[in-house]
Order: sequence, then C-alpha cells, then structure tokens
Amino acid sequence: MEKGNEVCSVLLVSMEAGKIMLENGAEIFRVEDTMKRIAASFGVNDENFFVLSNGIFSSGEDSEGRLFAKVEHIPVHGADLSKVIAINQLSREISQGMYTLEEVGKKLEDIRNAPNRPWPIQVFATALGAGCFTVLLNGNLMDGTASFISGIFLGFFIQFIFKPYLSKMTGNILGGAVTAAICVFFLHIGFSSNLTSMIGGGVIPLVPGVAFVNGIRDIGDEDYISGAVRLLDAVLVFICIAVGVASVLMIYSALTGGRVL
Amino acid sequence: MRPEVILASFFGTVAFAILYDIPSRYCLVAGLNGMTGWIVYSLLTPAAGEMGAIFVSTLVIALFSRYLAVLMKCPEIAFLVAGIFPIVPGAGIYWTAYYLMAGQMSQAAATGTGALKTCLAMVLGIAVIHELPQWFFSGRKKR
Repeated sequence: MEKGNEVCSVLLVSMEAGKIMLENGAEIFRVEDTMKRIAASFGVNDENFFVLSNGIFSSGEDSEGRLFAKVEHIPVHGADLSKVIAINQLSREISQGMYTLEEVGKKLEDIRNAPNRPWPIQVFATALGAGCFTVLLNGNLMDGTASFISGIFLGFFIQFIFKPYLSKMTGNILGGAVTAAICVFFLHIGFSSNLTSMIGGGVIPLVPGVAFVNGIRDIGDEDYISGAVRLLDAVLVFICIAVGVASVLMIYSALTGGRVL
Repeated sequence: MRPEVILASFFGTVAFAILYDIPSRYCLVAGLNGMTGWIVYSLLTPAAGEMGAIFVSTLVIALFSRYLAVLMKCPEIAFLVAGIFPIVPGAGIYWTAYYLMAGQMSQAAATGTGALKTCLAMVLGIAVIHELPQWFFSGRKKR
C-alpha cells in the first residue's frame, strides 16, 4: 500500500476504536491513550488526538508532508463497558503486533456489533438493583420487595419503550413516573411504609452511574470540559427523574388529600 | 449492621455490573468490591462522619479496582464504576432535585450540600489513588 494512504487508514482505524470507547463510557485519558497506542503500533507517531466527551479531533502527517485531519461528533450515549474492555484488550494485542490493519478493522466491526445481554437478564438486574438499593437506603425487606416489583415494571419499560422509542428526557420523566406510581400503589394498599426508600432505590436503575463516575474521574484527570459536561448530563437526568416522580406524588396527594412527602 | 444490608450491597453492585454490560467473569469480583466499600463506609460513618467515611471507602474501592485491573488484565473502570455505586450519592442528588421541584428549599439546600460534599470526597479519593504509580500495582503482582 502507498505510504500516504497508510497513515490515513491507521488514523481512521484508531479513530474508530476511540469512537466505540467514548460512546460506551470510557474516560477521556483512556480513549486518548488507546488511540495513541494503536497509531504507534502501526508506526504513526506524529499524530495528534484531542478527545472531548462528545467529539474526537485528530490530525496526522505522512512522510511526504500530506496532512490528514478528521473530526467526529459522538453523541452522549449509553454505557456498555464490555465494549470498552474488549477494545482495551484489542489494543494490547495490537501493540504486540498480532494483527494487520485490515484484521483490526474487522475486529472493531465485530466489537461494535457484539450483542448485549438478553433482555430477561437485564430486566431482572434492573429489579434486583432497585430492590437492593432500597434496602441500602434504610428500607426494610418489605420495602425492598415492593421496589423489586416496581423494578420489574421499570425494566420492561426501559427495554421495550425507553430504549427503542423515547428521547433521554421523556424516557427518564416517564421512568420516574412509572416507578413512583407503583411505589405509591404499594404504600396505598399498606404493603410497605417507607416511600422515601422505595422511590430512592426504585429510580436508581435510571441514574446515569457511568456518566457520573466518569465525570468525577475526568475532573480528577484535569479534563475539566468533558468532566463538567458529563456531570451536567447526569444532573439533567436526575432532574428529569424528579419531575416524573414529583408529578405522580402531587397527583396522588391531590386525590387523597394531604402531603405524601 | 444488618446482614441483609451487606447482602444488598453485594447484589446491588452485581446488578449494576450486569446493567453496564461488564463481562460475567468480572461481575462477582465487582460485587465483592462494592460490598467491601459499603462495609468500610458504614463502619466509619459514626466515627469519621459522612465525608470522611466516603473518602476512606473511595480510597479502598479505587485501590482494589486498580489492583484487580492488573490482576485480571482489564481496565479498572469495570470494577470502579460498579464498586463505587453503593456509595454514590445518587439518591441524595435525586432528592435534591425532587425537593427543588416540590419547593421545599431548606431541605433541598441540606441534601444538596450533603451530596456535593460526598462528590468532593469521592473526587479526592479517586484522584489520590490515581496518582499512585503503576509499578506499585504491577510489582505486587509479580511477588
């Protein structure tokens, strides 16, 4: 292959790797690191990568002085850490010289299209998380059970309505409303008593934990712009959930009279 | 400490490891990491206060995560995100937003500052562990 094209395709491959990592919740320094490592193991050393929480800018120059530059916009996305782990592993193998450029491209394609866990497991994990966190937030076992059941509904909602059809804001508002409605139902029939713990634990599966922890880590790594954006993203999700919960609680207290919380 | 709370911290962490698609072979370890962090946090809270307890348990979780990352050849974030989840002030931030909606400003201010202090303690804890050099972990592995 001609040398000029070589630099171009190396940078394209490392950008693709960086894109998958960033989309799925890797920290900024790790994305930059991995991209540099991939580029360096294919012999491209005079490249520059600038990574933000929602975009990658890269440029490079080949031996004949031809320039390569590309900007890629990456929307703030979900979290699929198995893909981050897979690419991290791939980059180690690349730096041991195990693959050609074409093979790396194919591997990246495979990682991008790798399936998630089947939906029953995800629904169960949502319910389990909700139940356990209710207990952690001073709920008793009855509250935990109620929250587990509301988590099942929330899991179905996330899998079949939120992920395929809804935007982030609408989905979180409705998700908070679904959880609050079910928890209020359990309170109303007298099954459990601690609404604060039930709702606090019940909405935890909606909480953007990866964005939040990554935001904190990015700020710790002095990537202030990306860290602030991720924290802002997390805070907006919190506000959406609260809007959903608050509206249901207000309707309930209007119907029954008196304040719930 | 009630035994069901310890179990809840373990299974809660595992549940979130599954939701974040952490490969199955790391999930149980991540759960143990979360459980350890939670135990440290709840044992220290009476003595050291909320902020101190969060700081120390973040130290423990981040240290374990880095050590496990070397041991299991996997980015530390897999263990850190799930492990730190039980002590993330998710509920605190969420209640702040809720009280703001409901117009209960004094409670919003109280929970809000609490959550902010917790976040600061976590940033400090993660940053401290992040500063440790890599040989500190890989050296221990060889021994």
